Amino acid sequence: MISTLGQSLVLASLFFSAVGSAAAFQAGRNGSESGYKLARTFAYLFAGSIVMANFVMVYALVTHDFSVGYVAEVGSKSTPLYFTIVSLWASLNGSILFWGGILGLYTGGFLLSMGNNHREYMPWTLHVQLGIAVFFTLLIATIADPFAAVANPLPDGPGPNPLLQNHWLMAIHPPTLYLGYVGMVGPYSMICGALLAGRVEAGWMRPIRNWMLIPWSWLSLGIVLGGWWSYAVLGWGGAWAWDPVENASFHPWLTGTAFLHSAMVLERRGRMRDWTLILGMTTFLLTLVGTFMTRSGVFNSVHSFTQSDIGPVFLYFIGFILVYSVLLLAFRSGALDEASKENQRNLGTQAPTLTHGASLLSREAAILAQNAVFAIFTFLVLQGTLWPLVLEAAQDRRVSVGEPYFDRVALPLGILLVFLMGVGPALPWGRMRTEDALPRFMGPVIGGGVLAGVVALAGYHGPYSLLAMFVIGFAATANMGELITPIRARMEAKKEGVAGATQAVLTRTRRRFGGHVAHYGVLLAVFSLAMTKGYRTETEFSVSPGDVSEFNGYTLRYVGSEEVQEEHRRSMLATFDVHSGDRSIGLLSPRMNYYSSMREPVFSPDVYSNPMGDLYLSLIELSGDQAVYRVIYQPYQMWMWWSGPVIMFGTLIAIWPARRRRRGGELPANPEQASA
Amino acid sequence: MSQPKVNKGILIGGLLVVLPLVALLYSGFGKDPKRLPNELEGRPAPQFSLVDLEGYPVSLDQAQGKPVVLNFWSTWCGPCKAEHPLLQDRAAANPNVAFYGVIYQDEPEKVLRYLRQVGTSYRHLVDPGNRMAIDYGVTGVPETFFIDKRGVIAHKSPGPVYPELLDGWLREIQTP
Amino acid sequence: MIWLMVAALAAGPADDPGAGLIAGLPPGPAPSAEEVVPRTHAIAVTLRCPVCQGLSVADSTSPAAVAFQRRIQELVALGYTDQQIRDYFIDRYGEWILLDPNMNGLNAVLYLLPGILLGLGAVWVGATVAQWRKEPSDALLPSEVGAADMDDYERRLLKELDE
Repeated sequence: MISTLGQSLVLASLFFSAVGSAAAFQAGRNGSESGYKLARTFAYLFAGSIVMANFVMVYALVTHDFSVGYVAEVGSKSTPLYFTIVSLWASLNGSILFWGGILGLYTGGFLLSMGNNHREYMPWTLHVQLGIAVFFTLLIATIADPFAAVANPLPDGPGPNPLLQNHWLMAIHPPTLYLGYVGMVGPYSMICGALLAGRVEAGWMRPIRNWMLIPWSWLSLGIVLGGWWSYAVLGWGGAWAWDPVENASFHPWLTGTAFLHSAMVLERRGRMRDWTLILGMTTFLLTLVGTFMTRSGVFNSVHSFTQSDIGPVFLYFIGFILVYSVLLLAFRSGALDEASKENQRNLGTQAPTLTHGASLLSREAAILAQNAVFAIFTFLVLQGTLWPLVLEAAQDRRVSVGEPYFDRVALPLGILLVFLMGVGPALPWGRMRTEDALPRFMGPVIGGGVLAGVVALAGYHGPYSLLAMFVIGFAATANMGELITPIRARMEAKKEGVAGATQAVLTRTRRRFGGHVAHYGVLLAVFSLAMTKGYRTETEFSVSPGDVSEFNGYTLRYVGSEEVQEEHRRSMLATFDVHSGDRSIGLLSPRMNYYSSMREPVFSPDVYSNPMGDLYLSLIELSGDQAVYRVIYQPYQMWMWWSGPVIMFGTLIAIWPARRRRRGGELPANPEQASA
Repeated sequence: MSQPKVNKGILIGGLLVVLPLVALLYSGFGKDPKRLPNELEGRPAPQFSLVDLEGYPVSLDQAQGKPVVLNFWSTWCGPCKAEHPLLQDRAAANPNVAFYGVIYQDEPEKVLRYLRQVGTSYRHLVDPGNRMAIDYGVTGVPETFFIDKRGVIAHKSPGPVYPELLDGWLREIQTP
Repeated sequence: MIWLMVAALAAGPADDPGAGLIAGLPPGPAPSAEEVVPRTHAIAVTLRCPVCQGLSVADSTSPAAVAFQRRIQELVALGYTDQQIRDYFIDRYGEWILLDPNMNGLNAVLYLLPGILLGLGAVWVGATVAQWRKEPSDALLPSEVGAADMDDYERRLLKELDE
C-alpha cells in the first residue's frame, strides 16, 4: 500500500520533470509565454510530488512498515524515533530519494524567488534543472527504488548503521552537506540557461551568485560539522584527515568560493566572464564527481555504501554532463559576447559588461590572483585524491596519498589565500596609483604584526604559526577597515551619527557587509587550524585505579573502568577525575565501543572544551586494572566550530532580500548599484 | 542571430580534462578498494617463537614439514567468533595440518574464558605487542594464512573464512 | 601486564626482534632515550594506519596503529635507521603503507606539479592584468588627476551608498 503510494509519487515526479523539461525547452526556443507558464507548473508539480514521496518514506519508517524495501533494510522497532527519522539518509536508496526531495525544495524556492525576472534565460534554466531531475527520479524509480515492495515482510528489521547512532552530529551533518551539494544544481542550470539563451539582460549574474551563495554556505557548515563529528567520535583528536570523502566536499567548496569572488568582478567590472562560468559549472560537476567517488565503492571510505548497480549508470551520467558542459561553453559563450555588445549599445556606460581598465594594485587583480590560487588548490587536492587510482590504472601500483602531501600543498596555498583575503578588501576597484595604494596596507600590516606578537608572547612562536598569525591579523584588520571606512565616510558626508550611519551602511551594503562577516568565519577556522596543527601536545599514560597523571597543567586521576552493555553495542569506559590546578573540572569518560557488525572498535573520546583549548581524552587499551589512554591538548579548537555558524550568518545578511525601494521591485540596471 | 564563434581553447582544454577524468573513474570499476596489497604470498613465512595460552613455547620450526594454518583473531571481534566453529571442525578433521590461533590485541584471560566455553581443538599463541601480526602484515582480524609444507605462504585470506575457501586451501597446501 | 612479561621470558631474550625480517643490521649504537619518542612519532606520521580512513599510525588509536607504534619504538630503540624501519613496513604491507609516497617513477609528478602550477598561475595573473592595464577606464579617478581632496575610494563608496 505504502509502496504503491510512494512509487506512484516517484513516477509522477519523473513524469512532471520530463514533461516540464521538454516544455521549458520549447518555451526557450519560441519564447512562448504560455509554454513557460506550463513548464513552471510542471516544475512545481515535480517539487511537490518528490517532497511528498520523502514524507511517505518517513511515514513508512516511523510506522515500521517492513513491507517497504528500504524500511526492511534500515528500520528496526528498537531504534529510537529520532534515529528512525534520520535513517531516511542512512543508506544508499534512501539518500538518493532524499537528494531528490532537496532538489524539489530548491526548485520550488528558486522559482518563487525568481518571479518573472530574467525571462531571457529562465526557460532554458528550467529545461536543464528539470533535466537533471529526470535523471535522479529515474534512478529512484528504477534501480535505486526505495519503495520496492517486500513480498514476505519480516516482523522486524536490522536497524540503521550503528555508527549513525553514535553521535547526534552524524544525524545532522549529512543533510547539511546534501543541502550544499544539491543546491549547486541551481547556479549550474542558470549558467547553462544563459549560455543556451545566448542573451542576458543587465544584472543577470546577481541571482546566479545568490543561488550559489546559499548552497555554498550549507556546504561550509557541512564541512565544519563533518570535522566536528570526526573530532567528537573518531578519537584521534583531529577534524580533518584528507580522506577522499572529505576531499570530495572540499573540491566544490574551493571552486564555489572562487566563483563567489570572480562573479563580483564580472558583475562590477564586466571581466572574467568565461572563467566565472567555468567555475560555476565546475562546482556542480565536482559535487557529482565527489558523490560518485565516495558512493560508488571505487574508493575505500567510511561513507561508501555497498557496491550497487548505481555506479555505472551514475558514471554515464557524469560523462554525459561533463561533455555537455564543455560543448555548451565552447559553442555558446561566443553568443554572450554578441549579447554584451548589444547591451552596451543599448545602455551606454551602464552596461553590465562594459570593461574597465585596472592596475595590479586593484581589487579585481587581487581576486584574479585569489582565483588562480583556488584553482591550483582544487587541482592539487583532486590530483592527490585520485592519484592512487591513476597509479593503479597506469602501472598497477598501489600507493596512498595522505596528510603529509596535502599539508605540504595546503600550508603555502592557505597562507597565500588568507593574505589575499586582506589584500582584496584593502584595495579599491579599478586603477589607483601605487603611492596612493600602499598606505592602505599600513593598518593591516600593523594588525598582522600585533596578532603575531601577542600569540608569540603567549608562547606560540614557531615560524609557520607566526606567518599564519600575521596573515590572519592582516586580513582581519583589512576586513575591519572595509566595515568602518564606509561608515566614517557617510558620517562625514551626511553629518550623521555613528548609529545612523552604521544602519544606513548595513542596510544599503548588505552584500558587502555579509561578505566580510563570512570572511571572519573563515579566519576563525584558519586561526584554530594553525594553532591546533602547530601546538597540539599529546602524551600517553598507562595507569591503575588511583594513579594520578599530570599533563599541561591538568591533573587526571584514574577512577576505574566499567563495561556497559547497550542494545546495539558493548562499551568499555574508563573514568578520570580531572582538575585544572585546584579547580575541579569533573569526570571525563572516554570509551571503546564494540559493534557486532564491525571489525574494529570505535574509540569515543571525552572532551573538556573551553575557548583557550580542549583537553581531549581517548582510550587506547583496557586490560584488567590497567588503562592506557592518550591525552591531547588542542589549543583554540573550539573556534573552528564557530566558523560554520559565522559563515552562515554572513551569508544570511548577504542574501536577505533588500527592501524594494524604488519603482516597485524593478531591478537596478546599473551593476555598480546592483552589487552595492 | 549570427552563428557565434566556437571557443576552441575551451573546447580542446575542456575535453582534455574531462575525458581522462571519466576514463580514470571508469578504471576504478571492478576493483575492490578494500583489497589490501598482499606482499607475502609466495614468500617464506616469517619465523616466530611465542608461547601458547598454557605457557608452552611454539615456533614455526615445530611444524617440521607439516602445512600450517594461522588464524589471527580476538574475542572482541564478532566475525572471528563466528568462524571459530568452522576452524575448530577442520582442525580436528585434518591432523596433518598444524592449526594455530594467534591472539590479536586481547587479554589471554578473556581468551581462555571464551575458549573454555566453546572448546577448541588447536593451540592459541600469545603475541605480545602484535609483533608477529606485523611481521605477517596483518591489517585486522580475522585474517588467515595458509602455509605449505615448504614453509611458503600459499594464501592470505583477509576477513572470515567460509567452508569452500578453507577446504580449497587446505587441499592446496597438503598436495606436495 | 604480567602476561607480557611471561611471554617475553618464555620467548627468550628479545634483544633483536627484527632479526631475519629487517634488511641489514642496526648501523650504529642505540639512540638515547630522549631521541626515541620524537623519532618514533616522525616515522609514525608517514605510515598509514592499515584499518583507518587515511589516518596515520601516529594519529589513530586503533589496536593496529598502537601495535605499529610500539613496533616502531622497539626498532628505533635498537638502533635501526628510519629508512630501514620504513622499508621493513613496506616489505610487509607494500608501498601502500606510506602515507607520503616516495618520490620515484610517476610519483615525481606529485612533487613537481605544485611548483609548475604556481608558476603558470603567476604568468596567467600577470598577463591578464597587463591586458587590463591597457584598457581605458570609464573615467579618470581623482587620484589619477591628482585632485583627491577626499579619498577617491571614499568617494566611490559614497556614490554606491547614495544609489
